[in-house]
Amino acid sequence: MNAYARRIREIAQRLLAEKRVDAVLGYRAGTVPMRARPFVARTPAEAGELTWTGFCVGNLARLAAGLGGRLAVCAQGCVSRNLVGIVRENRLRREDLTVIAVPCLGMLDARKIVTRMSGRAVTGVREEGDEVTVTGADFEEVFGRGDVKRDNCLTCLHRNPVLADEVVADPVPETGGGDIDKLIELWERKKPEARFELFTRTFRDCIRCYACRDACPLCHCATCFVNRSNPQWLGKTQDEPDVLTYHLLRAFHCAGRCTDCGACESACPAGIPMRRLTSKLESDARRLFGHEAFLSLDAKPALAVFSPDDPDEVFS
Amino acid sequence: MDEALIFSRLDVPRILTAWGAGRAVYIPETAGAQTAFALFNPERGLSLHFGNTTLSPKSFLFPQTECLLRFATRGPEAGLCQTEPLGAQKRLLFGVRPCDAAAFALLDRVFVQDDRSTDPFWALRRERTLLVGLACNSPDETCFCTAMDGGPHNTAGLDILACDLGDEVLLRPVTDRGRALLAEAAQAATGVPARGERGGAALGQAETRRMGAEAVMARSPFVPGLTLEAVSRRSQRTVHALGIWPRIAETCLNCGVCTFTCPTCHCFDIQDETKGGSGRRVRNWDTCMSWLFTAHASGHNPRPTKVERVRQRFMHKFKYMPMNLGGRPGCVGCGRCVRQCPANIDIREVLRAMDMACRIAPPSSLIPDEAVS
Repeated sequence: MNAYARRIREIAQRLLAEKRVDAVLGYRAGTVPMRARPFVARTPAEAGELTWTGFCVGNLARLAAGLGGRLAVCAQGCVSRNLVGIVRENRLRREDLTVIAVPCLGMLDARKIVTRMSGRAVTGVREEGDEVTVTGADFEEVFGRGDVKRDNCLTCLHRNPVLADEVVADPVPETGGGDIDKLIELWERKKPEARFELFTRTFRDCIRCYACRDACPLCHCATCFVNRSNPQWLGKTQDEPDVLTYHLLRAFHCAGRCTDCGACESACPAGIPMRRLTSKLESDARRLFGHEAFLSLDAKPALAVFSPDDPDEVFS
Repeated sequence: MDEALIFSRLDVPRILTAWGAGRAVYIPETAGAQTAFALFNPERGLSLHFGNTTLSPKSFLFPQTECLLRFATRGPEAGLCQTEPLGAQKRLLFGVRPCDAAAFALLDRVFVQDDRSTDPFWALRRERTLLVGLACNSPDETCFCTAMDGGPHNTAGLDILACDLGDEVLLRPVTDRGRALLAEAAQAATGVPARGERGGAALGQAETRRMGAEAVMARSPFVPGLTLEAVSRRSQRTVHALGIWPRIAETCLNCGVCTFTCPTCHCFDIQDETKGGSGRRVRNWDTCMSWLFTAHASGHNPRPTKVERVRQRFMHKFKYMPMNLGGRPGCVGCGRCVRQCPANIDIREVLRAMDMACRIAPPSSLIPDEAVS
């Protein structure tokens, strides 16, 4: 068991034994390789099942808002920011929340690993320091962590949690080191027609399962616009206008709020690079308005602030 | 062509090309971490090394969006409907896994029940689509077909079953259509009848591979002992009322990944879309994970939280469908939902929890149940 997992268990068991929380939201081992499962531990014995691996790729803030009671949540940098978000948006009271801060070395991308295995079945993955060892029935291959990290983790700007009631490890270097503005160059150098073509192509394989929406900790509407039936705002078909409208509106709902946690991209069964849209919003908020979402409980959300000298580029 | 034929593996592209005369031939193609059926292109070749396609092939017979009819709301044609022409092209899917073929056979029983309720769209596509299966020699960690009335070399739903023997491929006809197809293959390449010493060896190799594949599942911590037996003995109400459901649903995101990647999920929603003076009636996949799925016009929703919705999915697979289909589970064990669920809710664990809880549940009520879906 790794040091992070051991420490998470210690903290969770103590919090539960001392009855400081009703439940601890974290991960336990997945049933298959390259997976970890969200898990709600309610007793010290259950807390013994908690773990931490590079495959904790969901965003637990998503589940935290609906569980009720006093809750401790294991949170990396991005998840801690989304916890700030749900507190700010009155979906969870700060006094009911205990953040178990997990300094993050970046989560792993199971798809990148599968791609590198070219058809050979993976039976296990070991993480040691900067090395990731992938094993199969008759092979073992070692990769640098950076080679198989998720894209959003490579360019992460805040790996240390912004809230920390309990701490799992010493802080790690604050950023992932990659250039977060690289992805949006994809859009910026293109003419409108080419942008639209890229937009269309990006979401061509969407099956409208809404895993991206449901994995996202930002979504908070009681009834999502895609589920509105009277009037029905959006068609149900696989036709391009229906699919693209969904993705466009979903992305806009994340403007100024997206922490680039990558949960949407990890959840997508079709392997769609979801962040192509949301990273543009993140970048606009950061570069045009100097705003990074949910860095502190006091900061005002980007869309709640108006200044006469706000830039207009965002409309172009 | 009644008997199985052995072909060189190198001849498979030639056979596929021959089958492509007058038909669109689709094969599994892997790009990155995704595998999907794509039109066969001899220049790109094909690989027999893939686990299974990321999505099930059900959309070939049951498209996610399908126009059923068109209508006018104004003018002299107002109120008249025109059915959409049934224009299914002739197709051949090569490399369908036995679990997915079993799902087609199962869905036949949903869409083609009797003369009065046959779904013409499904039936025509099924009739015009030939299925050449590829036996599983190396099941994935998530596979459990052997626990779901299936097997890695099963032939249900297929026209031909192909078995990869390394340098050779064994093609076994299953249906009359498959026998005709095998005759076409024998014209395109040299096939050796699987009889005599050589045939016996090939059949023996196939058998060894089948047993090897079954052994993989038998060694899985999730498959042995997986059974619907206790669930089948309990009434619908008992299974419905088990205490296990809130905990199973707790981490569910209520997205539709499990239902949309499932080869047997077949629920749909029919909508009329009107623009100006005309419109169309269109059928789209729907998912029981969605709040909207059971929302009534009155505002009432009989499945108001994810607990009821999650329960519905597993009840449908393991209780309602067996009740409707003479005991056959509504799941074929392909493992896609296990692989794809963002929360890693594992249907094998859910069935085991249902099984254990059913064993210790108090006796069922004496009121007989009626199967519903």
